[in-house]
Amino acid sequence: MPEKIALYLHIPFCQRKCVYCDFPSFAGKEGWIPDYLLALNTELQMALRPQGTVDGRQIDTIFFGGGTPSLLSGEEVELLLRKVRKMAVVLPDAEVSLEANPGTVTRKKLEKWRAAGVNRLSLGAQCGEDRLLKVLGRIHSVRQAEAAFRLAREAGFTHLNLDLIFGLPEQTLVNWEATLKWAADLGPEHLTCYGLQVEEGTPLATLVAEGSLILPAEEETRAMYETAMDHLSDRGYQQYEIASFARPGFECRHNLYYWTYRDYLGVGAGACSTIASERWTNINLPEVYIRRLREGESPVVHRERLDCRQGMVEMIMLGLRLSKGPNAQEFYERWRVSLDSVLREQAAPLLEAGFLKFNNGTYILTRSGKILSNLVLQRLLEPLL
Amino acid sequence: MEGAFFLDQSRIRNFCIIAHIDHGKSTLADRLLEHTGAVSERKMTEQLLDSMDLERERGITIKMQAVRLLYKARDGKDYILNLIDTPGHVDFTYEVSRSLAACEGALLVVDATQGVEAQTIANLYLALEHDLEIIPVINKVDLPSADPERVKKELEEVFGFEGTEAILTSAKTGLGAEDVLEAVVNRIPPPKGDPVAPTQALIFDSSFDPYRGVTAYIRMVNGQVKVGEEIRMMATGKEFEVTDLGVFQPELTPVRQLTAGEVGYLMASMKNVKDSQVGDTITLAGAPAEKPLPGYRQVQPMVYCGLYPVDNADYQDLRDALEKLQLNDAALIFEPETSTALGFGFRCGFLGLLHMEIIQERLEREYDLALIATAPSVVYRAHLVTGEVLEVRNPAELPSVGSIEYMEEPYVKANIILPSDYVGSIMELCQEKRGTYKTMEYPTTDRVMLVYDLPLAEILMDFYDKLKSRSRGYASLDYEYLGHRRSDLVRLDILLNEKPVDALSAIVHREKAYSRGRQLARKLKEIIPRQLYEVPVQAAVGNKVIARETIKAMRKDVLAKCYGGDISRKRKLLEKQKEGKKRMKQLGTVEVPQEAFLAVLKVEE
Repeated sequence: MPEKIALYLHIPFCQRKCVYCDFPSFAGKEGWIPDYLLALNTELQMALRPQGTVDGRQIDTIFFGGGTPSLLSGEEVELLLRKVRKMAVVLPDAEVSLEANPGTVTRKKLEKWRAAGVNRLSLGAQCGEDRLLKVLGRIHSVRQAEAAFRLAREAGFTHLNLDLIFGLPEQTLVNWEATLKWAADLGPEHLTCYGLQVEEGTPLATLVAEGSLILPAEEETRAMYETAMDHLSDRGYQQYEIASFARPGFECRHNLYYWTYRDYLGVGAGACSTIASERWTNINLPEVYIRRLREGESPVVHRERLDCRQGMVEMIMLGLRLSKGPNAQEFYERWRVSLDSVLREQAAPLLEAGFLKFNNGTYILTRSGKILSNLVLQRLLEPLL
Repeated sequence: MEGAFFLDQSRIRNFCIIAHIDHGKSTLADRLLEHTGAVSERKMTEQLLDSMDLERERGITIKMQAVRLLYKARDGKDYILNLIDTPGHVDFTYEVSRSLAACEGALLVVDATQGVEAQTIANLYLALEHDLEIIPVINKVDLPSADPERVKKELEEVFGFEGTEAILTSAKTGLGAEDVLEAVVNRIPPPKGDPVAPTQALIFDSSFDPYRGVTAYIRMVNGQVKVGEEIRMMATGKEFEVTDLGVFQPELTPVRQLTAGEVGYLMASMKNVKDSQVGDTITLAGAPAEKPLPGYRQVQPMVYCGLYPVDNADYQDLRDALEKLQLNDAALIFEPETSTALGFGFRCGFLGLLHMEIIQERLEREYDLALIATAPSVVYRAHLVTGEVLEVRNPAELPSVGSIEYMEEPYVKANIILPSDYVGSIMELCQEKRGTYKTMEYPTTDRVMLVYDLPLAEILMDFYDKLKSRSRGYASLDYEYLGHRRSDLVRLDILLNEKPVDALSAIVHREKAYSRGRQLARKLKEIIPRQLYEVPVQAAVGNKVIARETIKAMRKDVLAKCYGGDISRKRKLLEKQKEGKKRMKQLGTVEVPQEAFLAVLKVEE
């Protein structure tokens, strides 16, 4: 039985681009959506046909990511899902997620999505303060996020995620605690909490560089992350990944495909796929993506074959994000070398300093290890790089 | 006919060009080559005499060469003019002296916009010691800021040249090139060697290449040498059979023999430049000269530093590379050493800082080695209570305070020439650097020549940078070794994470130990990036900690999101970070960047 696979569909359109965003997403190009969906359909057909890249493997999870997939109407999502089901085997209990911007959802859309088979909705709430939402360039208010959440519940979504960001300009620890409480009070099954990253080339980077926006100090963002861990644990959420918190049984199965180093097919402009140690990435610009597929050309612009060393590095760096660590058994089966023997020497000082723990035959990050996970990873993987 | 021509010493002139860096020595040489047709303008890659890339990049001459110019003078006769190039840096004073010894005259090139500089003076004194006929040349007269009259006056007041003796040139436009050639013919005396006396040839340079082996650049002083003859190196006693002889036109052009007065090259199956030491005298094994020519000196490294591969696995590669460089550089010496901090490496000796930098750069560039260099150190002498005298090239090797009676360090006589406006601040600088004032002269009303005795160690630190910055670039420096002098010195140790790092130890004057310790700890705190752990940095003399700083631990560095499209990027980022750490050395749990080992040179007072 060939392994199951995850399917990612990228919707690279936004009403407005947020100041911190460096994703392949574009504002003001919504007019391209119908053509884009046609192209997406073509790419899906190529990948899902017999002897295509997926070649009969069962689809376990589907994820509409963006950009803003919630710009799609109920009918558009329904049509896409129907085509996927026609071309490939989608497991009956498949997880089907859709990312939604609270400023773009309506009762009608939500009901249609749910009816089309979307069973997990991820709301980009980001923050419980209107002032900060404005700074970030978000198109919605706190109230709209609350409304979207309730509408989703009413539409029958029993698996809801809220995305939150901490370390925002002018955000204080007290503000962040309030945001956490606000979000947890809404009662989602899943919460994602990322620290704000200032990515090169974004408007945010410029604003910070010129001093128009001032980010909280390192000590304060550390406290914010720790508060998230403490507060959400108190509220019954388990941290199963660096930034992901869920009620038991509500972990995001789709994202776990990435973190447990399983195969995934990504379609759409800028989407990335990894299947059988081969990774490829599509062209970013939606117009070019559309033209290429219309003309029967491949949308792929970059392709790499992962060698054993790269594979090990990735499996460890992704696995360590998880609270249960990389799977030592699968690591051994895949690379024919034990995880411990690969990491032992580098891990020793990190174990001693309390950043790592050796648990059930694998390595996991401790709380302080999570807080410094980037540095710990660098240290741990250095000889492998 | 040619053979007879060679023997006529009255038609030979051997000369060199002495100048301060940038005063146009190489361009003037190029014009002379062009003017005599030795090289066509088209064939000339800019500045032919400097053939190493590094030299060209730095605008200085490291390896000298020689070239033979055929010149039909205004008197209608043909002359052979041998132009011997000289290195233009204080590190290579001995080499300069050997090429001066191969000449009867010198062009003293002075920049018409800059005037006389310290190096000009130092080289001129060297030239006068060798009784050379000096022809002053004022170059760059085409520049708008040129002031040849002022420079003439300077030449007159500093050296006693008549204003009329100086030739005005522009090496850039070619102006004055013929006047220079005429002066070489008319003012520089021909060689006066005895062609039938026992053979004495001065080696003024040598080079190595893997195909031909060693080439000795020689000036025939007395007698002659032929292909096939057995020669003896008078300093080393080694004997070889001459396989090739020739002259530089500027390509190597073989000849059957070389006779007194001539300049040329000699090959004799020598495998290592050590077989052909600069300053040594070549004679015939069968009919040796009674005495060697005067002036030979064994190369004496003045500066030492430790060179370590960042990756210990590269140790053998580093050794191989050093051995290869040594084939062509008799002044480079090295011996294995170990450091508890850095592992296995080599203590290397150099003529000076420039020589050191060149070697390090070549190792990294030509041999692709990632290196950690420790701060340069002079050779200290520790007089022990037992009466024994220990030469200390590595601060870490200094014995404990109790066993030392007293210490000595090398001193130099420093000549500094600068515009008079800066005298105050430069004298202050010399004072700060433990200098002893000797003399002050005013060659012209607006220029000063200061002479100080200074510890060489202070010059290695940051003296030159400070000199330049405090004189806005106008001061120039030259120095010569005076000898070792008694000094109150102590070893300053650095501890990272409570553990001493031997490679960071330095020998400093007792009175400066406290402030330097504090500065060094502070500098290291700046240079060493924050890590997973807090790292205390301490400076200590003996058992006494005199300064302490703390490199705070990183407090937060959480992984960014990583979904399907981010995985390759994240992996590549990790790879890039590792590449960036190539120059980091792991000391225990602390990652120390390579520049930390040179921090002692960068402390601000």
